[in-house]
Amino acid sequence: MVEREPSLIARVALGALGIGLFVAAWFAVAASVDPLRLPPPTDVAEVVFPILFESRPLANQLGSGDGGILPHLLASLGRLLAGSAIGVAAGLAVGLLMSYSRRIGWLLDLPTRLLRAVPPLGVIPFVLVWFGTSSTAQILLVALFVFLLVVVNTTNAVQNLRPVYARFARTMGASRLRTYRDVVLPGILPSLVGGLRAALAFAWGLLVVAELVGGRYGIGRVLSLLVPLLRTPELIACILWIVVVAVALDALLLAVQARLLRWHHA
Amino acid sequence: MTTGRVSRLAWMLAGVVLFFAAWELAAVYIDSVNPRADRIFPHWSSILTDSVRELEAFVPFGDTATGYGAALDVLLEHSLVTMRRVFLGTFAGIAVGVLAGLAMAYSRVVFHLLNPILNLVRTAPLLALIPLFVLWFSGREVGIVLFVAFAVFVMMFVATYHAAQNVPRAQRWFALTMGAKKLEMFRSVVVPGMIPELFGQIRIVFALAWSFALGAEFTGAQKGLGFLMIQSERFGFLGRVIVVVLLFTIYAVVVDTILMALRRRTLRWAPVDG
Amino acid sequence: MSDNGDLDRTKIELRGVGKRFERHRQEPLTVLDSVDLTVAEKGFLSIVGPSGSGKSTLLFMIAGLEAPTSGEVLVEGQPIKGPSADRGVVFQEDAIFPWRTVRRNVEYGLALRGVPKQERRERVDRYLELVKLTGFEGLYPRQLSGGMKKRVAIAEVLVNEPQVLLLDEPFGALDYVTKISLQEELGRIWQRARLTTVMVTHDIEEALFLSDRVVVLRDGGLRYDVTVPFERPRPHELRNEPRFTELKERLWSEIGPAARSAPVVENQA
Repeated sequence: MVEREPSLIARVALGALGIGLFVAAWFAVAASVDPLRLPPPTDVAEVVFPILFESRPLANQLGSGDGGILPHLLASLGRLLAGSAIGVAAGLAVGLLMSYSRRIGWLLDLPTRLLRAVPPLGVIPFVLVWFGTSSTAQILLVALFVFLLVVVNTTNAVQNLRPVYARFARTMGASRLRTYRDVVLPGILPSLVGGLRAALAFAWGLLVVAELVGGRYGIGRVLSLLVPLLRTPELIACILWIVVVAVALDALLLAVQARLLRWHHA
Repeated sequence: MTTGRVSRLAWMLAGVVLFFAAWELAAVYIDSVNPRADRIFPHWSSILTDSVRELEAFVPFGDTATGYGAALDVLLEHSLVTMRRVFLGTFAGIAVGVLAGLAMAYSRVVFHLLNPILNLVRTAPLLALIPLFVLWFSGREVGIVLFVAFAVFVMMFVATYHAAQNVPRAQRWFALTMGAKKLEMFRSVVVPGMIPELFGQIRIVFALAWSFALGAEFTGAQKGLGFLMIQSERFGFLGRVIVVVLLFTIYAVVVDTILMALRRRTLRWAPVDG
Repeated sequence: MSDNGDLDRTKIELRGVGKRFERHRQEPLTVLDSVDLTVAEKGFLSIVGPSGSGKSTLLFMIAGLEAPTSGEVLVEGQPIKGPSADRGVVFQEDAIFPWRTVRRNVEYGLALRGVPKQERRERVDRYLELVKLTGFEGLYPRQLSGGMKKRVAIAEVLVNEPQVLLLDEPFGALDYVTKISLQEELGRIWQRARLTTVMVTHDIEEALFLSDRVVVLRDGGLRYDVTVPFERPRPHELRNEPRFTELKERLWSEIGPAARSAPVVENQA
């Protein structure tokens, strides 16, 4: 009639064909360029699991241990989570305050706009100058980025909340503060968690770049060591692991979202 | 003007004043405890004078120009380099991304062919791919442009598909019952109907494109505003970084303002906001 | 009325039409279970029923927008092969295009068929006059009220001169006053155009006021079928006459009890 959906078998087959075409194209390009630039997928597959626990080039560069990337990956993930936690807590507090009190909202309106207009990567040099190559620098970078996003998300979400809920609560005798706890907070949760997924996805890349530019430890630092050595298979394997972390994190947030928001439409 | 609006304006102005005053106070304090304070936490007065002039340090070898003129030349030259990368990359990425997204929205076969790959790429942190582009192109111009284009492409691909899906079913069905064939329906309903949402996405993508270009310039470029920033950071001159960041921010805001004006002109039919 | 001879010819025929939705990890949901129905040429048939009874699905199958999982839909004895300009649909939601002005909306179907500009203009003017929208040609839908948007949709469909008119809860989203006046308007327009019409609605009064025949759809099948005897044109006062309210009560007893305890079935589409 209007649109026939392919059968389940056809859908799976098409998806497999798509991935197959991608891998085939990779093989084809790899065969025609310098293998230092693009090795075939098989070379990457060989190192993708071993690299978690040992890597000679990294051990040489860092002068210690087996040089596996797993500790680096976990260290970076820890910074991402710590920074995000700070950013969410502070952002939510400031955002709610800005919508609770009109005057505070006006006061902080332009400064937050100004900071948000700055491209997020432009903040990297600041944290490097102030906090050097330490973990603090990376965590604060993530925290600031997440903070600004959560502030804007919160104030927008409160504004978009249908006023009838809050009014109804007030007619039932709830105080203004109580209304915020019982009505506003749960009401803005859907858009807040949605915004957080996008924020975390970008913050993960932001953190990797910050570590790449000036970090002593972490997955970004690993990347910056591998590039000059032209270790392409290891580099691609690292990036794959970065993607895996991103996908896992997103899936986790999606599950949290579904659990928290059973009452909400998809 | 009502008193409400006056007090609102006053509070907003107070916010800006407070913001700059807080910075200045911090600068005064750090001045008193740290001998390198003028570098790592400069006063506004020195940012707008000394830091700007100091950018003369980036004039090419053999050029003997100095002072503000030389510094402005440096800013102009590197700005043009960065803008070329941002605009070339963004336009190319938008063009290819929109076409790919439309193809995916048009045909269920294309959709199922690309969906698994797209699902992986959409959650991938695009910035993490910078080292790969650096390695592939050794920091050459084409590598930076291609990275910006690739990142924009992925974002627009996803956004276009969703914008097309979000055109209400009633409108699509209505066209079919009026006798439109699938391609006609797509051209006359889906394409115009998705433009407001697409415009919003283009604004987001443009804002991020500046960051994508910065990231690529941090790591392997010999020119561009990102290069100026990272070199200044290496030597701990935060004032110079601030000058470049301010410039960057102005560019991003100007482009965004132009996009908004464009939206108002072309989408008179659309409800405000969206 | 004069030409009841037409009412004997069958225009649309549904033979054993069923619709089932496959569901993830659940029994398939049977929305319609072998429905047989004929619609007479130039007749006005209304399908009423509680929400979730599959009324709209049935209508969309006649439109060719959804395929039945069993049985077939025939128009003029031919199985239908998808949507066509011969069967115009007025949707419940705003389906007119927000990026086109009133005039450009109404001429959409004509433009699709390559009707020359001059003729397009004349026909659009004629139908705009029919729905009383002359003078609003240059406005965008966002500048119109809900009732005016509905008039645009009706004109946009009628300008194609379809053989069948399908109405899916056409006035469901409107306020009471607008709704009543549009019903009367539609009755007037229909009497002039006289085309085979199928309307789906949950509003029993609306069905009685407009149709020649009303059927009740519930629990996946047709449960009640009644001819509406009132002569046309039907005045507003008809709604309060005993013969009208009696029929309304009868229909309510067919639908009401079934609607009371039905849980919400999440929309499949």
